[in-house]
Amino acid sequence: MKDRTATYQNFPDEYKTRGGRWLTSSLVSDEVDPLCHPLGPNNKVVLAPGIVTGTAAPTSARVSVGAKSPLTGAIKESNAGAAWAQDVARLGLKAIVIESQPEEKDKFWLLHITKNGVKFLPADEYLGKGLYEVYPQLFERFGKKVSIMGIGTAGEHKMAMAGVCFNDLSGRPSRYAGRGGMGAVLGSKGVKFIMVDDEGGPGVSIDNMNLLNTGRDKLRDALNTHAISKPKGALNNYGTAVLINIMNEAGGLPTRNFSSGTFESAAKVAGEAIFKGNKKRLGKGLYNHACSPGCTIECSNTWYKRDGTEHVSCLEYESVWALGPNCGISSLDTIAEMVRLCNNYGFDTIEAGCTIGVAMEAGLTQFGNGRKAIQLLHEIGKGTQLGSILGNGAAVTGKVFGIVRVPVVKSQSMPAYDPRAVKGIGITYATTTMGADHTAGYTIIPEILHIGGKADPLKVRGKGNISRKFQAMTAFLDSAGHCLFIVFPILEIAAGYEGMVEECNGVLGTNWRVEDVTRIGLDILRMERKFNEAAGFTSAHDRLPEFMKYEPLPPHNNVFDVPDRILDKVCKF
Amino acid sequence: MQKKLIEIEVRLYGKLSEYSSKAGIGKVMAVTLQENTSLSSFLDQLHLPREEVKLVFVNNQQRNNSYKLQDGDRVAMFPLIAGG
Repeated sequence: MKDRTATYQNFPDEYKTRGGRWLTSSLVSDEVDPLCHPLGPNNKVVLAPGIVTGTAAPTSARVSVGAKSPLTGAIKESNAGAAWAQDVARLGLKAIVIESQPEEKDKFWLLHITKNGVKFLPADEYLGKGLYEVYPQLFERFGKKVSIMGIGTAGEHKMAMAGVCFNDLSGRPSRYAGRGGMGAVLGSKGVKFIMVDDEGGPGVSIDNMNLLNTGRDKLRDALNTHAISKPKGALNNYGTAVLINIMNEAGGLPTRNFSSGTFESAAKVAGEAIFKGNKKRLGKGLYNHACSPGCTIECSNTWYKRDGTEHVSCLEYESVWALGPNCGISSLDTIAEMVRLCNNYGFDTIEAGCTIGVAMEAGLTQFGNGRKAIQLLHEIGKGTQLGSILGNGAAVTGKVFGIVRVPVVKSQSMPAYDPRAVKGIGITYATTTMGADHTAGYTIIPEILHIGGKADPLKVRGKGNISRKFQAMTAFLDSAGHCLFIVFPILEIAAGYEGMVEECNGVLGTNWRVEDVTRIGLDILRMERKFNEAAGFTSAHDRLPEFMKYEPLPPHNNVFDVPDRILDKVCKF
Repeated sequence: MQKKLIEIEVRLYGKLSEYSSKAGIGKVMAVTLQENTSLSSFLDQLHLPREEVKLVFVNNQQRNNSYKLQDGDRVAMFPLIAGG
């Protein structure tokens, strides 16, 4: 970005089987100094569609965004489902790497990528504005067929809670690679938007179309028959926020800044309440929609106001929890407004919710005060002095206000499962290369949902292996370009799992077998750990915050009692 | 000797609530049972399609069908669900 030039390079042979997270983490590992300042000139942002993204593989429009994280100081990949991912892939691009910084301070640019190349256009007119105002203007200017990647004001201000925003299928600024402050790194490089138009692009290069089609059919059949992922199935009906009630009944729904595992008003904000509330307001049942083209699961919801007009999409489980129960807030309308503000200003909803929770603990307002919570989100979005503190996340906010109960690992806020009530997910939070992250090794599947196996959430035994297994498999799925939610059917339908691997073989010409998924996943994790070690991380960083070891969580009144040696063993492979 | 009666709270979530006019999602149903009723026989009394009941929590812990219900138990039932 220093002199605003774009060069095209042939895809190096050593990377030829890599995509998505595997590719972003490889490029960051190979090209970024682990000791660089995340917001300085030597960090790089890498955006890469998955291996099968852009093909007819179902539920595969994923993009991985990688860099050294300003939130954690470690390697980061955050991914999202969006048409943008497919469009990049169909232009024949394996990755977009953004390097250096403009010499002029606070100058931002819009990159317009088409089959003819990259144009750099000034983005001044869009600065300081909400993304709900700007995205329609961009579609008006560049045409309805383009896809948008952008950062909000949080990214302009280089805040560590700034995510990367992609448009959904209705053009809303709502699909986020939210975690780890990737929006701040883009902001530090003066990149405000990357518009992609795949018109006339060469498409994805495919080695063996028959094999790709065979794999696609097997995976599609698994998705279409499993009770979770099938059309009008569990995810399509109630969305991901259906987990609110189950985590509450399991005593693991972090409430009021991780001080309790149950929330007395959980049922009022759960997926079922969203369905019911919409039905009442619209006079008919509303089923969910796809976040990106080619998704057959369709788990994204929309919340409507009392007058029947749209309030926001999407009320995801993590977002509803972070801004709702975690802040003691029990009104879906208030939570919807908070999610809308996060989308508008460009925040990661998990980091925003945990930060507000810590701010409430610090006495900036009381738990449950939605009006004040909304005001705090505006402060962050506008970059006021207080907002600049809060915008750097829960860890910074806790330090500034002298709070001990700060639910972070490697400075990244924990998602919606308390590790004292679900031990395996705590092991994932502690040991993943990403900082506290549920998707990195989603042990909730056996521990709570009992899909593809069962494990007692309160017991420690065996959880290290489960976490490592899920972490490895996820690293592969994040690289293939599939949504993590294909995991529900493929864990129970073997042909679906085979199909996913065959799709990759069809695109790449590889001969991978199902057994290779874990091997490749562990290779990716090993590479990410190596970067983190060189950045100064040791086993002492693979730990949960101390308060979870001595502060029992009601109702189980358990502490996090996983011995350090088990955490260390998870990382030895 | 006549068995003692116990009272429990039952909540049905997701699609399961559609099987009881009294249920509503997450709404509390007070149910009176004979002491030592197992979860399994209680499920039989509820007229729910058994195959759709995937997870049962009693007082915040998952329990299997042999669990003997106690006075004051909070019982929560879920169909197969997922998210994240």
